[in-house]
Amino acid sequence: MSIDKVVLEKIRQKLRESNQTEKLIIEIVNLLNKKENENLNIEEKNQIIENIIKEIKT
Amino acid sequence: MKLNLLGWKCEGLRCPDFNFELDNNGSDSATFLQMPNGTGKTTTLRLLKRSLYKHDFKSTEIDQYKARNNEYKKEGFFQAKFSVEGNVFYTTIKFDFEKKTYSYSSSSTNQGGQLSTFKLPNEIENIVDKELVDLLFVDLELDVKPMFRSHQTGAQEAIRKFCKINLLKNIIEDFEDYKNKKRKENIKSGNIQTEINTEETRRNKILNKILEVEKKAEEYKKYLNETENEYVEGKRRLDEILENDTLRKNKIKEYELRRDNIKSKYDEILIKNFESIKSIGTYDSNLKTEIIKFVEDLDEMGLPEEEVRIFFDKILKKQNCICGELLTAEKIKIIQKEMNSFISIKEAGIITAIKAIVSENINKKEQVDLNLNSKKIQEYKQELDALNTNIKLVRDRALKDDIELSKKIEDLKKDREIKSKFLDEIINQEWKARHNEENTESLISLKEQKRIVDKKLAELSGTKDIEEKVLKLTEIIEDAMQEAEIQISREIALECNKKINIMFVKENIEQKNPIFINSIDKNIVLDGQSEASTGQEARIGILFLLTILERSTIQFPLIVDTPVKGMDSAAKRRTAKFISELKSQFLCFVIDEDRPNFTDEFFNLNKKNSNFITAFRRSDEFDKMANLEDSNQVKNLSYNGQVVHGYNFFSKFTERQDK
Repeated sequence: MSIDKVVLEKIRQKLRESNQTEKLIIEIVNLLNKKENENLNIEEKNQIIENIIKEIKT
Repeated sequence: MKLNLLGWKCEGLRCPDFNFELDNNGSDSATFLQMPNGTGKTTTLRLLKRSLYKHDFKSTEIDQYKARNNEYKKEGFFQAKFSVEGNVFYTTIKFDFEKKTYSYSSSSTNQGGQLSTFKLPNEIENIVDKELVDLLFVDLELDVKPMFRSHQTGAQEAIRKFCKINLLKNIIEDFEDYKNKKRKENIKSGNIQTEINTEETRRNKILNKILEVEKKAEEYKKYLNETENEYVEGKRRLDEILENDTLRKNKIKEYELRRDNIKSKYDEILIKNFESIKSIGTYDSNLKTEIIKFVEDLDEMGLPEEEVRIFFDKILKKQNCICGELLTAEKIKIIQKEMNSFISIKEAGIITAIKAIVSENINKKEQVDLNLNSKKIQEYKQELDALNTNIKLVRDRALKDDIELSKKIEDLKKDREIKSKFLDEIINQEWKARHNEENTESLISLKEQKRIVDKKLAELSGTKDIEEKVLKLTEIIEDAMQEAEIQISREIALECNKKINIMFVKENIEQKNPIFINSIDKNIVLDGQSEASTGQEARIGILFLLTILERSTIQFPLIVDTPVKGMDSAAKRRTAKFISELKSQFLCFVIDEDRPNFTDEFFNLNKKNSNFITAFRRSDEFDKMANLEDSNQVKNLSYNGQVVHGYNFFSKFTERQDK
């Protein structure tokens, strides 16, 4: 994954600070990874997004 | 891991048919490629870039690569040769100029065979993309210089691109698309759907306005960058002329001093007058009388609400109503209802506040004389205008022989001020409730307007939960992006300064006055000065790019066009020494006038590991020169072009006969 490590650290940190679950953090990092390395089709992408949205605490 | 450029080959294109092999002296070295103007440098650079990512060539672009006149061929190709960790791979772009089509093919030694599509080796496939390639191919004028300009965002964009901060922006857009999709799926009926349609139309208008403003901002940035040199140079020239005219220079200084003094008095009286205007007591007009009457009427009515409430309370506590009948529970309810509707607590608060302010202003600030202020304002304004006219007259007289330049610079100044204001202030203005997509160009306001419409749409369409969650995640990601950018910028600035210290100070390139980076925000901010010389900016800019590239696990080459353009001899020598200290593969394009103090200096510093290559369109004159050359020198010859390796030929090559 070529996204800068500082960017990933910040994402993790900010999600934790807003009391989001570890599962959500993993799913978002996973989405970043897939977006960079795989050609996600719309259905696959929407499925991942749907799972992430379910996990977000407002 | 290392990515190296090993060479390239082209046939049937606008540039002559060339075959470049850079690895004759080892690929880690610096390569100086001398190509006279009109030899196809732009074509070469563009196609080298396009060899590292899949580009969509439009027919008009394909036309630009077509050979001219009697050199025209139906087909042509460009093939670039790279290596990753020693494994060689090729990318070939074939053009059919008749059909105006193109096709990519790729091959690599470790993957075997030729693929009839664009494919980079697995190791770099997910790392190298257009954004990264844009950082590897650098033009001093177009890419490096703007990184130091206050209204440009080149440095910030380079960090965003390379560190993939933009990927997070991309994710936000995905969530936005998902949210919109869900909202549009929730079709309502009747009035609600009509309201949804209205809000959707407004939302589209806002989005269009955002795109329009962003486009305008890009155009303004481009304009400011393109006119920077002309403006700075012109202004410097005018200042020089004025400097030499001592008499007029002193006169201008005297006027400017007086003008500044009056200006400060003028500003002071304006502020004082503004404060006075805010006080009602200062009005000696009908308005003042009307306001006082209004407050008196409020008192007469027995308002505000506190008094009214006491009155009603007293009635409610009595056994009989004021009409003499028994006060029943039903009547009490009616009176209570009337009491509450008579005046609300909020209204009563406002009325009380109005009364207090009017009373304070009338009592305390009655004495301010607005007429006196107005008189002073007029006087100062007249004096200010007269002094400005005098300054302009003296300037015009001093610059009478350069009136065109003076006019041009004055116009440029005005234009640049308008555009800078747009970029620095207008697009960053805070959102105000009265804003709509038509009366503001503030991106901050437009984005807030969009957020408000989105919220309303979510409520109407019953997708409030998704809207709130996406908003929450967007805020978290934006926060993370912002902090990551700040931290990365700090780390890069720190790393650059370490390199400046080692390379410039310890290696004695700029020991006397090394310039360090203060910070990197949108642009590179230098320590203690707003700008540096062309040479200093070029070296710091290259260091900045190399430092960003080093954040990757892959070592990339850096390819620079015109590395010493606009530099004096000393700056050229320093740049040569600077390049000799670089650890990455470095390739630059030069012309014959760059040799003294630059490539000659580099050759003396670093005889072994460097490639000196000359490429030219064949002519009798150049062929004769090449034929006289040592037969051991590597030469690649085609029917219309020739590539000659070696410093000997490189150092002598020049066009002597005017065509």
